[in-house]
Amino acid sequence: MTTSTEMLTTLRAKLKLYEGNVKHFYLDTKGKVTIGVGHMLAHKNDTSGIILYKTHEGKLTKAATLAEKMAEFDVISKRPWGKRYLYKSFEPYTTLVMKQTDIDFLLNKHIDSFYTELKSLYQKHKGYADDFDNFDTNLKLALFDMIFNLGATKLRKSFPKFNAALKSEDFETAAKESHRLDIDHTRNEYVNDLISNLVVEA
Amino acid sequence: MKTYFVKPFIATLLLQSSCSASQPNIPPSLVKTEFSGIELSSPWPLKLKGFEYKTYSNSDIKFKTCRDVLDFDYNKIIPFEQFHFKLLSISCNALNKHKDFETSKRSFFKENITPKDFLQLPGLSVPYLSKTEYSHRHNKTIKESFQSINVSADRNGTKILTNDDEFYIHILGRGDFNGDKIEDLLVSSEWYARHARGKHTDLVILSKTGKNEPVNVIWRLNKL
Repeated sequence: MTTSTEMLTTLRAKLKLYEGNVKHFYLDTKGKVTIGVGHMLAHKNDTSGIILYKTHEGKLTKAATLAEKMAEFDVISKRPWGKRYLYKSFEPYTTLVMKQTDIDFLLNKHIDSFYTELKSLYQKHKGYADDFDNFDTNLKLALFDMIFNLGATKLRKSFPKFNAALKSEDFETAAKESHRLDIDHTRNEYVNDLISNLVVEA
Repeated sequence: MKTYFVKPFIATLLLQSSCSASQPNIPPSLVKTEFSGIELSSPWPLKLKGFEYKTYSNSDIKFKTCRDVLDFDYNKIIPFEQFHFKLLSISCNALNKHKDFETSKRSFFKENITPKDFLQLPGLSVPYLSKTEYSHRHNKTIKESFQSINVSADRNGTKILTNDDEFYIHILGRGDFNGDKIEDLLVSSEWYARHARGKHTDLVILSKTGKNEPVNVIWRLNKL
């Protein structure tokens, strides 16, 4: 991946801020079993793709077997969920946890997948000033933020004025058009500032 | 004798009154199961059970009534917990609106709205993320707003799937909102990005004023 370590650290921190960083299973607002940084598990068989540990007196002991992970999935998936039940309310019903390094490994895979989509969307031959890899770091961070939230199709189709402004390197307009209605003021301002401070290279 | 004549007269009046009352008066109704954690039997601003969120300043804030929720700026809550709070806020806003709903004389909405019927609701009944999405769905139904669409009943409500969106729609209540004596619907919805992490929610009031009239959004919580 052509992103600096510093940028990857920023991206991971941002996603943890938006999606949480939870070591145990919990149910999201749709009632789906979730862990780590918003990593949703559609089926209990998906627990084979994650490493969970048993704990004793707050310390990790040995890795859980697939049967143990599936059993924990079953326990949590049957809990009530909804606006009354934040992630932390599920902790008393869990016995297994993920290590932070494993959570970060999963997170890197999600970031990689978004990166592939961004490289495909933003290419010089599509009318942009350059390919995504050669964009200014701040612009890359802004685009990552938008694709995390919207996905590639919505970023392309629901924000046409934003993309048109990027093509013409009108960063003031692009910053304004990056505004999304589903996120908070702080996050919109963050992306706005990343873009509006860009300058066109002579 | 006098009494004899008066009694039938009163009876006629009562009969007329009862004829008038027998027109389809439809009292406001609420789908109580949609408001888990809110004590609906308590007086407004309604008591809440166990809603606590973390703020950017790293303090926990407990919400005891719907008034506390309505008065609070969600921007102060940490992003990870914000959506949960927004859902609670939708419930409190819905209950705040619904308490002023009045009895209707008529309704052009079906009593039992099926998942398929939801496709005929306005495209703007569900959350939108940009001005482009707003313009694209303006004056269109949900069915007309999206290219590929699948609707089903789900444990989370009526689920509408498009290529990129996952919507859930809930009818929270009914009643006359705008004083025209025609029943309106109070509808909440959630949006989740299918291939990303975005989510959003909104609350609308829908009106239908005639059998062949379209359904219109006459009020919404999140304005453009």
